[in-house]
Parts: sequence; C-alpha cells; structure tokens
Amino acid sequence: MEHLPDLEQLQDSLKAKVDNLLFVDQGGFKAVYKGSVQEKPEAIKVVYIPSDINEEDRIELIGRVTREIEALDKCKSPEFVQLGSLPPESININGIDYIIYSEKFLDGENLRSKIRENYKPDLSELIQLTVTFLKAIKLLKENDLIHRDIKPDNTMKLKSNERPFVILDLGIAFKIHGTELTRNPRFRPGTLLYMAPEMFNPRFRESLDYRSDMYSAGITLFEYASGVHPIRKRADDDFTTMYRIIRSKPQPLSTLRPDLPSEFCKIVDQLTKKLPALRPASFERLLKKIKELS
Amino acid sequence: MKLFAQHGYGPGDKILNGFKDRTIDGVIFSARYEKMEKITSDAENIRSISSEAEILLDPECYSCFYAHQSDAKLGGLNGWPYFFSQRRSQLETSEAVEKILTDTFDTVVDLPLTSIVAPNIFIPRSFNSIEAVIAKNFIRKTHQLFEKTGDKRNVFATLAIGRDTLIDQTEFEAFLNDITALDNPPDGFYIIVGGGVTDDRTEITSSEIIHADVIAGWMMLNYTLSINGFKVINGFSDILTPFLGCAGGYAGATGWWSNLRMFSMSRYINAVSGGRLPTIRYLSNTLLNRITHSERRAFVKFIPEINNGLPRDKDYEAGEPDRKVEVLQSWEAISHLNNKIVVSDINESLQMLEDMVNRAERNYTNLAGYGLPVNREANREYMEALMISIQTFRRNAEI
Repeated sequence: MEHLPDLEQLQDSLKAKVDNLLFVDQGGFKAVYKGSVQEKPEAIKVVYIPSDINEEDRIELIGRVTREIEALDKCKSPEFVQLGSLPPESININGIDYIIYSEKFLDGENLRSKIRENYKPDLSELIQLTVTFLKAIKLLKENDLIHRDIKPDNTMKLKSNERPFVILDLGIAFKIHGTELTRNPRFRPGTLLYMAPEMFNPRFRESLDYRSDMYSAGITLFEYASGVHPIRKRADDDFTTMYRIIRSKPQPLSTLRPDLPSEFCKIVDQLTKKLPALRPASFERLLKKIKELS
Repeated sequence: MKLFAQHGYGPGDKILNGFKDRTIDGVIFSARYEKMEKITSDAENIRSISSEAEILLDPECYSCFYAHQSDAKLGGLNGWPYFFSQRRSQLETSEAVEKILTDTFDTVVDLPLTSIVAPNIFIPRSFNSIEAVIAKNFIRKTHQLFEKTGDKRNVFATLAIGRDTLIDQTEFEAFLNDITALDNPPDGFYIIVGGGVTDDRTEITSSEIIHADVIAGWMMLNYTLSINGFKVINGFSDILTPFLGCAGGYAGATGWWSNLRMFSMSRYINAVSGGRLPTIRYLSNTLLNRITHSERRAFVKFIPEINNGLPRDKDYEAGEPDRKVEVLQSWEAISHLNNKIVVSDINESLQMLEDMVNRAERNYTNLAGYGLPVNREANREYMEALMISIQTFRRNAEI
C-alpha cells in the first residue's frame, strides 16, 4: 500500500480505542494490523484514500469500505469474517486520509501462504474448503450479492476444526438489482487470475450471477489442491492471461492430483467452465455430492 | 437412455406392441389425437404390459397461435378445456401465462400420467425475441404454479423451439445461462426442436434439423440441463436420440409417421396432401438411416451389417412388411443404439458416437463403390453434419 502509515503515529491516532498495534499484511489500498480492542484481539483495517484522485475515484474507494461493512453485516455466518467493534471512521496522518475499521481477528494463514509453502491438502481438507465456498456463495446469493474476489489471498485457513476456512474481503461485492459500484474502468472488478470469463463481457452487469463466484471458487480450489494456477502461464502479460481465461481449457485437476477421487476432480473442473450454464448451479446437489465423497 | 413412443394419428396397437417388445419405456400422448376420456383406459392397457411405463401428455399449447386460422389443423385440441386461441400480445402479461398454466394443470392433474408436461409457446427464430421472453415466463412459473395443485409428480417445462434459435450462439448461451439458474425450477424439460416447413414424407435425416449447429445445440441443451440436475425428455428426436443421450438426455421419442419423427409447426396447418402412403422403410443402424425394402435386399448382399441383427429383422425377410411393423422396427433399432452407445462416461459415449458415424460413412462409400444408388451427395452431407455436430458439441460443452 502506498503511504503505509507509521505504526507509532497510527497507534497515537487510535489511542484509547486500540492497543498493541502490530502490522500484519497489506494490499493495494489496504493494510491490516492486529490490535487489542477492549482487551480482545481484532484485525484493524486501514484503507488509504489518495489525495491525487478525482472525486469519482474517491467515492469509489470510500464506497468499497461502506459496501464491505454492509455486506459483512448481512452475511453473519461462520464462512465469513465478522465485523469487529471499531466502526468506520476517517483519520488523517501527516496530511493523508485513511478510513479505519475493525474485523474479528482470525488465527490462521491465508491459502496463498500455504500454496507458497508447497502444501498439499488432503481430500478431507479440500472437501471442507469446498463446503465453505458453497455455503458462503449460497448465503451471498440469498442476499443478492456476488463476492467477485474469491481467491487464495482472501481465504483463511484457521486452526479450528469447527471453522476450518473463512472468506475475507467483500470490498468489491456486487449487489444484484441496483449496485452502482465499480463502474470506473480504473478499478478492475476482481483479481484478473480469478475473474470469471463472463466478467470480461462489457455487458456483464446485465447477466452476472453467483456462478461467477463458483468459477473463482473452482480456480481457488484447483490452485490450492495442486499448487498450480490452472490458467496462468508465468511469462504471460495481462492481455494474454485474459485471452486464456476466455478461451483456454484448463488441464484436468486429476492430472496434477491423481491421488484425489476422480469425482472430486470432476466437480472442481466443472466449476471452472467458461460458460456459466456449464457450472453446476444447484447448491443442494453439489453439497450432497461433496458430502458423499467424505 | 429411455425411448418413448411419440403418439399421433392412428396409433392402433403399435404402442402396446412396442411395450411388449420392450423397446419403448414410455409414451408421450398427443393432446391433438388423444381424447381426455380415453387416456385412463389407454394408460391401464399400457400398465397391464409394463408397470414401469412412463406416461406423459403433451398439451400442445404451442399451437395456440394457429387456433384462429381457418386452415388450422388442430385435431381434438379444441376439446381440451385449457386450450384456447391466443395472440402473442395477450401472453405478454404474466396473468395470461399463469392462467394457461393453471388451467392446464387443473385439467391434467387428475389423469393417470406419471409426470406432467407444462404448456408453453413455440420460439420460432431467436432467443432474443418476444416469444422467448414469454416462453421463459412459462418456464419460470411452471413449478411455482404446479406446486399449488399439491401434486407430487414431476413437472416438465416445455421448451419448443425452431432450429434457427440454436444457430445464434450468443443468444443461445445467454438463454442457457438463464434457464439453468432459475429460483424455483421445474423437475425437467420436454424439448422439441422444429424444422421448417415439411410435408408428410420429409424424413428427419433429410430435413433442416440435420445441421451441425442445430444438432450440437440440441445436445448442448441436454448437457447443460442434465449437469444441473434436470431430466430432459426430447420429443420427435428419432435417430438423433442416441446423440442426445450421449449428451445427458433422459429420453427421446419417435413415432410411426414422418411427422412424429421430426417436429414442424407446419403440422398444424392444413396442407395439400394425398396420394399414396409413404414407402415402408427399414432403419439400419449401420447406415443411421432408413432404407426401402428393395435397397435393403440389394445392400445386404455386399454389407451384411446393413441388417441390425435384431428380432424385428425377421418381419422384413419375406418382403415388405405390414405398415404397423415399421415403427416397431424403428423403436427396436434406436433402443438398441441407445443401450450400446449411451454410457455414464461422456467421453466414452462421444467416442462411440463418432465411431458409429465413421462406420456409416464408410458403408455409404463402400455401397457407392459397389455401384449401388445411395444418393451419395445427400448422405455425405448428412454424415458430415453428424460428425461436425459432435465436434462442435465437444467444443461448446468444453469437453
């Protein structure tokens, strides 16, 4: 993140609200800290609002925070991170604007870190992850929401059998029937490598549905299971990657993980189909199939 | 994959004999030719032979736009309480759609059917059309309104489309995306694909249905719907039944007249016809086509596999058989192909399908080489369309 605030200055700005602030991670516009709020650990989110952007972009950035908080408020389930006790507020450090709010602290690591460690999850863990994704996407659908940014970086593996995985970051969630978000072409509506092919259709807002999240979940499952992204080639530029997302057929998961049941691999492969109609649409049927494998 | 009898004019005892042969698994009664008061006894007769028989009724509401025309040929459709002449503009309101669905369900729910086929209209040209919007409304409301009857049988939404709808890939895919993610979907779909204007002697193999994009699109409908948990029953599918089965279809259907082997809306318009009845033919699985008795006798000397080697062959041994045997032989041939080719692994099924088409093409080439008249150009086009349709389907279905 550009203009990552100085830890001491940030702690000063938050004194009397947050103690023991520690830096955890950062993204494009957001940094995450761990801090104690009323003696309980919470994840403190700090969103940078650049001063050199136009009013429209500023509204977009602030809108992302508001929408994430609204979406998390609707999706109160173990599959999602929960809001913390710090409501959103604007602060200024050294003349730079930030928005700060908190989420419940999660003890674990994201799937990206596990992939980097060459970790190979077993079938039972992959089933747990699939079930988490399906339950989460179902809940989003019931609230007319599409996450649009499911990926290894936004999925946490926790040290808990009851709650093995949690999905983060609803900042670019799309509200079906009347969202105004992310119309600015400067903000890509998702992370390229996990974006469903239909998202590249300029008219995607007319027909986008929960199956684009199914696609992102399928790609994430594939990558977590095999350690390999099913579409990306290392030397590709964004344009080539986009072409591959729209046109190239991923190799079957079974070729990389022959030890997994072929039925499981087929489900993952089916989730990554280009045409939404080819992705299984019924949560009930999919959950039944997945549970039969365990 | 199951095979159903496509019911029509003059059934005689053909359907009962098909069940006795165990080559058909069900029947789709035509509301145009089956009277409401007759269904109960006909169903009882069928069940006395096959207790597992699936019995459906096609309400044929898609012909409702013709009802006001003086040259309409609607048979007994006007005798069904749900059937009325409709104008397209009337059906643009949800109330009108709901009334037709409700009236149809109220009429058929007391009949001894194993599943219910819902009414719908015909989409002639494009999924981007007023008809498509109306048809989607019928599909969306099918289960919702059927639930109100309290009946627990499966309900199938009808999807009756013209072959042209399957050619515009963009609109077709958008339609597929819509109907595979309905909030309260039906249990399955009854799909009919219509060709253009046909006459009494038009065979499916030489019709407008035989186009690679049309067959691939029909297969794609079966595939996307089946992977989403829907049962797909294909009406008027005849020799294309195994193709649809390989793509995940639950059942296909065919009957005894050429207009029961392929669908066309022209069947509801009075056409000038007459003259002699069509020649009785033999469906050869190795040619994927029907041939006359004399052709069969000539071909079999060079290629013995022209005979299917199935029990109904004996009816053709002594010469041209009785007309009522023709459909029994067709059901036997198609049912045999279904059992042979449709397996649980789609790749294996498609491979067998390709092998079957290649074999048929080789046989046509060999017959021509022997100097036998086999209408080589037409059959080459037919085989080419079948082969390309499988390749196109593989590509579109990302298999």
